[in-house]
Amino acid sequence: MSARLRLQLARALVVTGFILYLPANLVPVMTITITGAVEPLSVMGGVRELYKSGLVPVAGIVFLASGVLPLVKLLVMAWMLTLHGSDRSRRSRMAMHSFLLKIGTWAMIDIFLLSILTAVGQLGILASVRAEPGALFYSALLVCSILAVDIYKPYMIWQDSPKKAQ
Amino acid sequence: MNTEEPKKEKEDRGEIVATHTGNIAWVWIFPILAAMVAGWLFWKEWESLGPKIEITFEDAPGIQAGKTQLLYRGVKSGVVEAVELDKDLNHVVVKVQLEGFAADLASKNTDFWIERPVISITELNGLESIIQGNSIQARTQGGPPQSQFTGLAKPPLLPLEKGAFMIRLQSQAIPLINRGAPVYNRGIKVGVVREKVLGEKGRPTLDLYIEKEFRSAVRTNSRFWPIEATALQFGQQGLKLDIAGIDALIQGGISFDHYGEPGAEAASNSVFEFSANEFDARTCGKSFTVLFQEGRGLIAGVTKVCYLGQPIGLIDTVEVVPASQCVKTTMRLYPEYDALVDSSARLSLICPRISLDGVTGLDTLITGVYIDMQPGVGGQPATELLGRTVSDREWQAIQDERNGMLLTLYTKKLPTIDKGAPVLHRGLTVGTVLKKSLDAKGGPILHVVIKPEFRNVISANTRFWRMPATSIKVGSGILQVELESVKALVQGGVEFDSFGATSKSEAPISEFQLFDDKKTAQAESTPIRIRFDNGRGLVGGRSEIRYLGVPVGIVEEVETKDQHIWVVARLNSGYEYLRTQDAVYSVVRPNISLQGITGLETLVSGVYIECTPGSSKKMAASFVGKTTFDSEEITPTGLTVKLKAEGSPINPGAAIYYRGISVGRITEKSLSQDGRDVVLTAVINRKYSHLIHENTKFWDASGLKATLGFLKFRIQTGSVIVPDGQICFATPDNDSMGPAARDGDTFPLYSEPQTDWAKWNPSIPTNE
Repeated sequence: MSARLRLQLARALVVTGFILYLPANLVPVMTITITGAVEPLSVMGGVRELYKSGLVPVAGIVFLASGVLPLVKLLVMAWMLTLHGSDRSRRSRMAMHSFLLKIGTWAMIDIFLLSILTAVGQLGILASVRAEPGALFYSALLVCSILAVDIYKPYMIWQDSPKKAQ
Repeated sequence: MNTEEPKKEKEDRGEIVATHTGNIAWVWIFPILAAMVAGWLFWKEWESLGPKIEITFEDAPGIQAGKTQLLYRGVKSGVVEAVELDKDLNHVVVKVQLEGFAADLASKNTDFWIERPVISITELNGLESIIQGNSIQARTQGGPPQSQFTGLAKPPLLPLEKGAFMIRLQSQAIPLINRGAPVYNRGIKVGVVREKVLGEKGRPTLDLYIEKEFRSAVRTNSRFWPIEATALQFGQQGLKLDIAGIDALIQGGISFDHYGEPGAEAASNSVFEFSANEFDARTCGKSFTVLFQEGRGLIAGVTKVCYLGQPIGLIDTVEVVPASQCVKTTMRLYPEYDALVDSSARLSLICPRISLDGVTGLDTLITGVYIDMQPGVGGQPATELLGRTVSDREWQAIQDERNGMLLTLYTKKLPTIDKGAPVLHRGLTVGTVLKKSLDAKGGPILHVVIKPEFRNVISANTRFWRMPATSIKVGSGILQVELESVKALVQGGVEFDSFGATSKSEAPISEFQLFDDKKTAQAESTPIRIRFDNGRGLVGGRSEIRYLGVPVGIVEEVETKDQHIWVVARLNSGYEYLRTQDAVYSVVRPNISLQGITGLETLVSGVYIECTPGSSKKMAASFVGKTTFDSEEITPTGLTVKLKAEGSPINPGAAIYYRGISVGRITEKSLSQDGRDVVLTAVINRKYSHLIHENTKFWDASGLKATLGFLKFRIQTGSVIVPDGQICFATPDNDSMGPAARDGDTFPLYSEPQTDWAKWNPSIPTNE
């Protein structure tokens, strides 16, 4: 895979991530049916729910981990890709990249938890949990951001833009 | 090379060469794809959104924005977006985002209500709301679009469908009937009570929903009444507890029916009267007004109108009219009896009365007072009638007065006979005394009425007399005390009889004489006058005239005139023959003598006048009375012969026997003119006078006679208990009997019979 392709792919994935970010957060990721009460939950809805029920710290964590973090990742990636070829702040870009790689490991934890919840939370009539299209968007968003980070190799930070090289 | 190469290497700073210069624009397929999917999703989401509506509720418990659903027929049709209070904090405004498919719910005739769990005895409702939380429910009938709604306070009972058949009941007061209570028609449940509201003018109104298939049961003349969930009745049948059924027990219920000809089918939303009970509903005839002088015990909606004892109507309203000092009631009858209401109908209030007349209207003690209706004949249709407050008896009297035979009784004096006193005929009460008044001359008159069914008892020969309250009759061996009823004691009474004289009464006679007592009444009109030397014991109005011991007349007056006692007496009808010129009247008094006690019964019954009719055809009005001791001495004037004996123990009163049969009596015992013999005057019954002939032999058969003869002891005995003795006679056989004896003939009285006399066996035909 040529560096050019990688760059383009990373850019495309970041853009895709941005597009997916909205539905991933607004479309319900799951429906919880507790004793007949069907409650569709989106990520942001969940945060709001937690916040309303007084669990502000938990709401904050969820908001940060599930809502803000993917956006931050996308934004950082966008920043790196924008600066691609320039020689500005290459060091911090490197640091960022390695940071993104590190936290990328944990990115799918939400989906993992959701899948476990879906599998475990089948209590028949009392309660059931079902994944909704939002989960698909959300995981797609995460996949996009992970792939974008992975495809954009660290060495590419150090590449000059072709025009500059010439 | 080597130098070159490192140099080259040194110089070679690398060059990025686009090895693949191929188009790599395909990578952008990902964002495009993502954008398309996301866009489609959002578009779909947006497309499925229906209109937003606002519903105003009094309160909205358990309604949460973003969570509470709007359900229509159990399907989620929208979601509450916001729950707000209006400006003056009086209402809750719930904003609902409808689903696209449910957009038609935003139309004018949609009802929204909050479904919440209701757990009560009568209802178990909205159970799912316990689990799911409250929700907003909707039902619709369609209509033009609208976005502002007012929610119902309570869930409606039925899905509102087009063409639902609703009727409305109005009443003064509605008993305990809840929403959802069943509506029955002849026992079949045909609908439910939808709503219980206060209608216009504050009258409680019930909205009923009648199922479509039963709508023909509701007619314009249908009547509705509540089913008493539990009825405790205490009446003549005893204690009765009715429990209509568990659901009715709790919810109550409504029943309806129509009476008479079914009317046209009722239109939807028509208004009906709601009756208080079934009987009230049943009495749906024309309303009419009755005025009562007094309205004690009258209760609107309870007091019944009875006809021949059967309830046929009900009092609707009772109202006191101070201006005219009366009680104005309106009542209605069963429609089929409407024709009875006319100006001739009489309505009387029956209430319990306890008087000397007896206890009347006792049933009303339990059932309460009622109004007796008596339809009249030939009245004009009327809507306002005059009611009466009378007792049963008075009412009866009024009825009798109307239908019965009115009689006027004249009398000289009128002791206690009260209004309402009975008129008796042979012990039966056949009428009553209506009133007492004075006639033109100032004499008291009595108006009596005879019940119509006894009309034919009255004839021209009927005689009326006052009924004594108490009578004590003392006769021979009888002491009879007759106590008429206490009522008669107080009120007195009038009795009448025709004494067997059955004369066809031509035109009804309405005026009669009232006699003082039965004897006087029985006595025939023309009095006879009897002169006595001694009137001791004779009492006017009490002493009787007897014939053969049977009372045949009464002494009316005893007066003194010309040093004699004149007795004015009347003979009963049928005994006119006792007035013949030669009839003998003699006073019978008790006589205690050595010879015996006679006329003993007169000691208790009082003296009486014994009458012995004569044979004359001529009638007389004046007689000369005798004084005798025993009635039996005055045997009918028969053949009088004289018996001559030297001495005889025979006394007047001794019986004369022929072959053991008493045929006559010794009436007198005297000395002969020359004083040598005793002359007994014997009277032989006319019936047997032919037995006496010239050669008839009389002998003394009284007492105990013993004959001591040769080897022969014979005791002849008559009756030892006959103190006066007795006389027997025998007549010789036909060839030697001689001519028949005549009055005044004299015979010898032998002391004992000769033996051959006993062998005589003549055949003597009677004179007749």
